[in-house]
Amino acid sequence: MKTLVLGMGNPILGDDGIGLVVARALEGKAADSVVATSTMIGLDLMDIMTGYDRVFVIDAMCTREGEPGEVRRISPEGGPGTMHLFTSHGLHFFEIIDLGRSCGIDMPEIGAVYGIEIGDAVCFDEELSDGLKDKLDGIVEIILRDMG
Amino acid sequence: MTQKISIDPITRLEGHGKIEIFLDEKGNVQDAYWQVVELRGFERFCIGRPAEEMPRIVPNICGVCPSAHHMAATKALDDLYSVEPTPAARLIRELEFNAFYIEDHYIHFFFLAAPDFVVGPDADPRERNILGVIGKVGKEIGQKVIEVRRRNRDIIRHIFSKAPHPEGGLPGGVPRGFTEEDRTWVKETADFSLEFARFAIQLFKDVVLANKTYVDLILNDAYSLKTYYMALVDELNRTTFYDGTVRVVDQHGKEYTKFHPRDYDKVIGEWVEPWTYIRLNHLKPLGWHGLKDGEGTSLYRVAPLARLNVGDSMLTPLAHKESQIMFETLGGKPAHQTLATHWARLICALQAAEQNVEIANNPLLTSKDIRNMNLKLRNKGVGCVEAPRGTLFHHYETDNDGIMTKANLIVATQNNAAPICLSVKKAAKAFVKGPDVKEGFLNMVEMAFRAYDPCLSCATHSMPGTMPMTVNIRDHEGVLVRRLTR
Repeated sequence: MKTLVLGMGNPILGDDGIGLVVARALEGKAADSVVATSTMIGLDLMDIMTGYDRVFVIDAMCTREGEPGEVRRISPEGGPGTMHLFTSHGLHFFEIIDLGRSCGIDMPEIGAVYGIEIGDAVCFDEELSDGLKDKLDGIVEIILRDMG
Repeated sequence: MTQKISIDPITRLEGHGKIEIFLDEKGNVQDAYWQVVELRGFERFCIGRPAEEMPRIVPNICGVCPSAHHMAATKALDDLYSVEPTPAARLIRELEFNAFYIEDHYIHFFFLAAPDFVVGPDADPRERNILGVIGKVGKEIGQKVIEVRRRNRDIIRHIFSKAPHPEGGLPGGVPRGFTEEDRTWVKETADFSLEFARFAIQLFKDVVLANKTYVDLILNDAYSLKTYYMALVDELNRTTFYDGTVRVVDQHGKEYTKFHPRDYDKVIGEWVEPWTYIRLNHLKPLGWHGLKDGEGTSLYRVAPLARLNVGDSMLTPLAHKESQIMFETLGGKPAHQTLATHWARLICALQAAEQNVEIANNPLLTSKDIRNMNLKLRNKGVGCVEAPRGTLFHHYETDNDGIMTKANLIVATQNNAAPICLSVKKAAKAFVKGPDVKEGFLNMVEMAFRAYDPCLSCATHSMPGTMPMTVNIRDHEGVLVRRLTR
């Protein structure tokens, strides 16, 4: 089974880039998986995911409810979204998958979409906040375990 | 009592903004504002950087129109270094720019506009999207849209390394050319794109123009605005995208002025209002006369409809023929019907596709002479292109080491900002009566600005999750009296 682990985020918006950092940390640890990162959304995700059998996505999440560093599985049925997979540009992540399938494109099954709570503050920074850096190993561990 | 209706965030819009609608005591729309509530700051980021980095930095202003910013930056470097690209380099740039037009315009039409016209403006919002469009017109259409985008992006990637954010624009040239072997796939892409462009025009005629309700909607006075128009033209006043002279025509189609892009600041005035972050452009020599259209206005519009209104003709034969059909249908030239922008967009994409077929067959395409190295720094450069969303200017100044000391960007949506406010107000007055408004009617207000395909950049990410549309109705003291969500 061809598996893709995809980290999403903006590398210059501090904690917003947590998905990118976690994905890189998973490189070599997630067995039989290709790890990729993307700063793009919408149809660009279709290009990246096409041809894989299964995809795990990791992105920042800002619900203003959870604790920074908290990891949640995001479902298509509702609940909180993440920073980049649910946009005002007309198509969210699950719709992209549906669109691809509707058009007969070989789209992967969704292993999981992980949202990592980052709290309120998003500011220009090429590094994560100290608070999130401290929790990085734990976040990677949770996701690795969940991915099986 | 004044009541306020907020549509926030606006859906199917490239970026983030909101609409505020104020009702009077009788429930009629008193005022409406289209607000941009974000700040980009790229003009500050660029200062202190080497000028040659601009084509790499500025595409990141947006994930939607990066190729336009990249090309405007590259052309600003041409001007800054007093260098003309070689004929082959110019041809290759035009090929890339047209490829960008094709993917951009079809994504907008099928993903953002078609839900209103194919599924219906008052259809269930859950179905009023691209999936609903595919449900109506068939999955083969969806496959073709995705295919035409993918193939044209391959052209962008070949020349400028990556898409959607190209890089590598060089003063006087391009970083990579084509071989005769490459020509084969470029021709195939160009032919495929032209076939798709003709199909898209026919689809618009079959689905939209054949439906009287939609035609009435396009012709509805609520969606009409009489302004000046601005766009690039060639020496014969034909509509161009990559390069040209900036031409402005008035509400009656008469030429108001024509100027070199370097003189943009003599013609374009930027007005600041406290209720929006975006600067409101107007024709400087006429002065700022507020948000009004018709006689006495100083507002101008850009984007596809403006391009067709400004040019005496289109550059390519099929596009020109289709533009004539459009003007005949709409009652003459210039056409002021904002919703006709969607039609004009398809005609512009047709021109881009026709041009790329010509370029793909041009012997010059495979020339090795793709860089003019005769550079001479002159400390100031202005680059201008007709971006998909309208005329785009990049103005750079540097010190004697080529380090940026000033950057001023006039982006397409900024040109349209004041007219968009007016369009929203006009539509709100026509379709909103009292606070008890139906979702479909609010969408018809949104359609007034969606036609412009406004791009507010993707710099902010304050979305709470899925894509809600919230309508807040407040009394004159700001107290929330009703909230509608979807």
